[in-house]
Amino acid sequence: MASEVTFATASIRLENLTKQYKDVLAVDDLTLEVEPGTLVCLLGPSGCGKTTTLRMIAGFEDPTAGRILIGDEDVTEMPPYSRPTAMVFQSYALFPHMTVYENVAYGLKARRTPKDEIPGKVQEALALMELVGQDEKSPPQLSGGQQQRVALARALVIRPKVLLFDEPLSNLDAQLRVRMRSELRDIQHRLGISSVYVTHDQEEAFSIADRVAIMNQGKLTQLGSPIDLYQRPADRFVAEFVGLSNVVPAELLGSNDKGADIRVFGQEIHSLQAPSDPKGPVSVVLRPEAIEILSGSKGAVPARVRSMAYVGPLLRYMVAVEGDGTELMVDLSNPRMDEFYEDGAEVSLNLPKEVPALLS
Amino acid sequence: MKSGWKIVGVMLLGGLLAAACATPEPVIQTVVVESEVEVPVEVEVTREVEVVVEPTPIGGELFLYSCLFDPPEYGVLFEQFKAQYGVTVTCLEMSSGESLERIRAESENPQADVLFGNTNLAHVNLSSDGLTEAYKGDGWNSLPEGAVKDPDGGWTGLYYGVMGIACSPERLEEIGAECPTSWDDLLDPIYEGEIVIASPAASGTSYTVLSGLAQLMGEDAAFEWYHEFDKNVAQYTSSGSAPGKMAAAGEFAIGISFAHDIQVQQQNGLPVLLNFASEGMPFEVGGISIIKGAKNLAAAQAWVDWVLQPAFQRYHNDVYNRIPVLDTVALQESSFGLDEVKLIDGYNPTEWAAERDRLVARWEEEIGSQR
Amino acid sequence: MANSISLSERIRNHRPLLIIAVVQIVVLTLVAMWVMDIVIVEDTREVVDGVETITFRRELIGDPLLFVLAAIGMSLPLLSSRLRREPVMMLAVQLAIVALLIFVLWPVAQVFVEGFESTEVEGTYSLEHFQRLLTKPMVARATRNTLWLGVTSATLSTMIGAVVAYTLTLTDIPWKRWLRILVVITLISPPFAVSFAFILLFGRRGLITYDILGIQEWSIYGADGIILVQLISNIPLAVLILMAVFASMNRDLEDAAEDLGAKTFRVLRTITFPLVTPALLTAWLLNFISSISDFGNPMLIGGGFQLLAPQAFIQRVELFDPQLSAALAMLLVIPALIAFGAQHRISNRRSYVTVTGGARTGHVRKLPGWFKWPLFSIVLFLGLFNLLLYGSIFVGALVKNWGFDYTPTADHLQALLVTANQLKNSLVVAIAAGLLGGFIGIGLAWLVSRQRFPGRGALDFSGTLMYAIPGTVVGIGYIIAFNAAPYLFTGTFLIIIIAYAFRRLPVGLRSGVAADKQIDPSLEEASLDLGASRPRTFAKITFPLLRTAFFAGVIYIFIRSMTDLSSAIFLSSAKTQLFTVQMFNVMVRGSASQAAAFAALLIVIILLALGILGRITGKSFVDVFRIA
Repeated sequence: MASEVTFATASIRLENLTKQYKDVLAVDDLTLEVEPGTLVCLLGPSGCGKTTTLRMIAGFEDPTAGRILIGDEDVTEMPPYSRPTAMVFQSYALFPHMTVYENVAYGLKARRTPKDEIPGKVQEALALMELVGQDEKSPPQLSGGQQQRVALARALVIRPKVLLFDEPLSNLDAQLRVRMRSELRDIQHRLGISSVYVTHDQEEAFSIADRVAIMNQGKLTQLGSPIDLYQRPADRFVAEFVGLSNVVPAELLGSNDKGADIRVFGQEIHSLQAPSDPKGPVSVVLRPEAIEILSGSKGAVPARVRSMAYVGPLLRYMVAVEGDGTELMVDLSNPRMDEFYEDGAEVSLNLPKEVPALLS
Repeated sequence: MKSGWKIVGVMLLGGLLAAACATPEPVIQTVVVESEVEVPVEVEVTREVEVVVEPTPIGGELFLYSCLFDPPEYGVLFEQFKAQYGVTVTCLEMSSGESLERIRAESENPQADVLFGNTNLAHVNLSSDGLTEAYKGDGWNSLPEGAVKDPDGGWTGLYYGVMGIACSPERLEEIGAECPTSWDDLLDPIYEGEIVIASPAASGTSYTVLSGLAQLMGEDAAFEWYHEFDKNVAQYTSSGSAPGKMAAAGEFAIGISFAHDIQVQQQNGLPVLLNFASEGMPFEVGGISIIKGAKNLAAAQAWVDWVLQPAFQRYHNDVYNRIPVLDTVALQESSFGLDEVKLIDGYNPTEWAAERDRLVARWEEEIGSQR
Repeated sequence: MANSISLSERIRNHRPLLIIAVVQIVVLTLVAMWVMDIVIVEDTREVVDGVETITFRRELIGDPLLFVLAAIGMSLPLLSSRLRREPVMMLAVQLAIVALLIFVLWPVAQVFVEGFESTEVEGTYSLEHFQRLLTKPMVARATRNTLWLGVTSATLSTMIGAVVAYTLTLTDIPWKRWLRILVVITLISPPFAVSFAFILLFGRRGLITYDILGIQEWSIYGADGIILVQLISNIPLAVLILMAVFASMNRDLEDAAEDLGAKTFRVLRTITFPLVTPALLTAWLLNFISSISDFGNPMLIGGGFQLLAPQAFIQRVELFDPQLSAALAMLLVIPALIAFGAQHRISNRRSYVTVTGGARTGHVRKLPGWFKWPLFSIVLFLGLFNLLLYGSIFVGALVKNWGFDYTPTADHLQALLVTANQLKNSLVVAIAAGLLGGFIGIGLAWLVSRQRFPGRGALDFSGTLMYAIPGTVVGIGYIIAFNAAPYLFTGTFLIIIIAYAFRRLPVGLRSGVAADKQIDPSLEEASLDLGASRPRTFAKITFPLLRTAFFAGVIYIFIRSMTDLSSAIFLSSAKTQLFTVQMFNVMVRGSASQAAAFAALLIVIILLALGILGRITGKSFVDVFRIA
């Protein structure tokens, strides 16, 4: 199929990157490193500064403070056209007055590639993105997925050391999104280009990134692999952002370097990791699939069923802890016939005996 | 398709019905001619004008196209006319071009009686097309033959508009020259680039200069003069009154415009001198004529005679600096009269109007296109 | 028997058709009554024995041809079944056809016809006037000059306007708000006021050229002066049109280009400016037409530079040669129509719609300093220059005699009191024209942009045609068409209001169409689906959404009407005196300071009116320029 090409790539280092607008601090002292060939996702809610960070790497915004290094080169002062970066825009930004061919050839022309080399490179990029034969079409004639591919081909053809993605999939429908996601992942892997990918979709981030950086209000909250984030969220914000629910306060009974013990709703739970701040309040994540739901008073914590919903192969119960009122989400897979509880039914829960970590 | 035709059918029917109802029936009207008119004898004198009122009742109405004056001024005149003749006068102000068009358009059914004021070329235009009533009344009789009246009585002259030479004293001082007093003076190289005059091709009023000179010197000699003169001309403007204004503003040393326009600049408080050429100045004649088929013929004739009386002539001179056609009129102080200005002998704007296309073309070819 | 339908039921079944039929008759009757008349005319008069006998006859006067054309025009939509199903829309189309026919096509055609009227042989038509035109060297020169002027002026002002618009929208220069106002401010003044200010400052005795710099050789009079003045007057138009386009441009495209390695100029050359080409063409066209039909400036500052528009006026008004004047006017219209047709064709073919959603518009991009600051200085210079011009007008109004006596005085301002009547007339006319033109424009825009019916394109074209017709021609056309009985229109306000409304209609139409394109069609569809009729939908859904375009159109027409001269000079009369005509007369005849007072007053009034209108409607006329 497509020829195997490997690109020269580099690491990306952001050192104390800060961006201050008139009354808004968009990016606050961000330090981050992207290892060569890996894809780091900037994930966070709107306004957290992820897009601003991306644009600073590309060179469209000037940082108020800090440095940006690509490989060994300090590119902070460089204009966008001199940086070895290429960006795929949310709106694709395909030039509507040019054909597909001209779009892809644009960067080559701008970089003074010899005329006779251009057609070859363009065809190579088109082949890589499975767009052979689409040269003469103009962007409005293409489907969303095709446009996205053209945007990517255009970026790849100039052999950037760094690829930047600004929410490239948010304009596609769900099915297409999932498909394109894995395609993007494949290509990035195959070509081995360091990439920074901005998105607000947690599922998307987790499926393609080597590491995910969660940003909140301009700050980097946690950087780690998807598993790290899921298992050991640094704080309540991260936990809730990555989709974890049932974050409840706990009573700290004791902690040492081997772990800690807490009490929640009367039940004792052991945590494999001690809280980062033993003096402060402590919360714990009770994963829905880890809570057992039993009828009557067979379990340790009495509760009452608020509602029930089918989620795929699971039953998802929302229950209210008796006496306390806190709502918990409990997932029950492969339910037996007698495990269908009605709204308002009295049930009891068994909380997990062990949790990997605590939140401060 | 079918319902479409139905509608059209209904429309046609309705239309015919409407048309039938709308047409008025003509009526044969019998009118007995007799009139009694009350004439009040109170007369207000507003300027230093002597009015002799001898009530001569005619009655009825009179419609003028073009008012010549501004409302406060013509109001006075209409009152006096009414006092004398019992006629209510109404005028409709419009430019000469417009009035000509109106009169032509209404030729089957004239709405007005008199074309009042306007350069005589307008009247010539009308009368040569047979659209004026010939009238040789007292007024017409009191004027000399020549430029100021139509020999067949088709129109009568009302006032002179004389060309003048405007000089800017400041600018003259800067170039170290005097205000010229003759056409020959204007050829002096010291005025190079300092003279403005309207283009004969563009402005009707400046054709007056060209034709005046042709009358004065003979056509070929006039063109020779103009060749020399052209060297001193800074620009040929499109507007006839602009040269006087520009000289008054001190932009150029000399501007050639109508004297009455130059006097307006003086009245504005601008320092500008007014001179006349000793050989003679060209002029335009303002006229008046009765529209053919005028419904108020008697009143129209009375009006024509009335404005050629000394009182009115003096009034016009007062208000608008025009020179009266009657030479017996006592003029206001700041005005100048026929005794102070020499008019070019035998110059008749009407005759020269016929030569217009040819002369202007010649000017264009020899002078205009060379610039 | 039992199955015969009663008359009342029949009527009810066919009610829509009956209503249509009735309206047709009413409209046609009104038109007939207006364009034609049967008058009683004297036939003979005899006096016999002291008894005067007058006999009369009936005569048909007016334009039966126009009536026939109107009738044909009205019946055309009847043939479309699509329209018959929706009576209201069909009536709207019919009214539009009749209105455009009577007030746009007919007067313009009159000018053409008069040009062919023979004066040598009454009642026939010939080419004699065109032959005369060909033999007059003045005409050849005037035509050459006019075309040269139009092309040069339009090209320069569009180029400079584009640079200024780009700088004001897409860069981060300081003081943008003020500069935007200053740059555009000359749009609201009568063009010849700018000429006038130039003379005050740069004339032979201008404050700057004479008093300060002492320049002797260069004179502002002539072609140079006209171009400079037209630039200052026309750049704002180009700026406004292009600012609207730049503001809605997808900025990502330029970012992407830079990202791919294109440097600043390459981005401009290959991305930014190609994308705004349709807007550039529109701006060029408008400026071209404005330039060739310019009447006031050449009269004031033109020196000996011959041009067609002033010539057409002079031939008509001063030299009493209406046929020649009409022939000259036709010479004016032809290049305008050609340019208009070309722009129409090109514009329609290349429209660059944004490809996808999520685009970033209007944000300011980083630009290198060496690029930004020269742009800033250009814009700043333009803004300050305009300020200087206006300043000189105001100062001139307040001194005794500019150039000679600079003692402050209020005399000239006091002298303005007598013009209160004319000012009132102009205001009334301008507001009425604005409202009329605004409504018709929006109505037409709705018809033309969203609905599908045969002849839509022709309607659109006719509505926009007035763009191409110079003001002089409009003035002359309206006189010829509506001068005589039974109209006797000239001399009334109505004709001026109508002339202004229809003349500026295209702007409201185009801006309405542009605004309409941005409205989601599903909004109207939802309304119809829920049971609202078309008129109700228009009133409750469409019109409120088009409000911006409507008010912007009203305001724009208001300004242009207040400052118009080239039509006013023909249409104004003793009963309906207009301020600009008076102002022009004073400028030609009066002293500089007297004229300055007029100009100053007009500027102040317009600014006030703009402020009030803007406050009431919440919009500014800048919005009307999102038309490209």
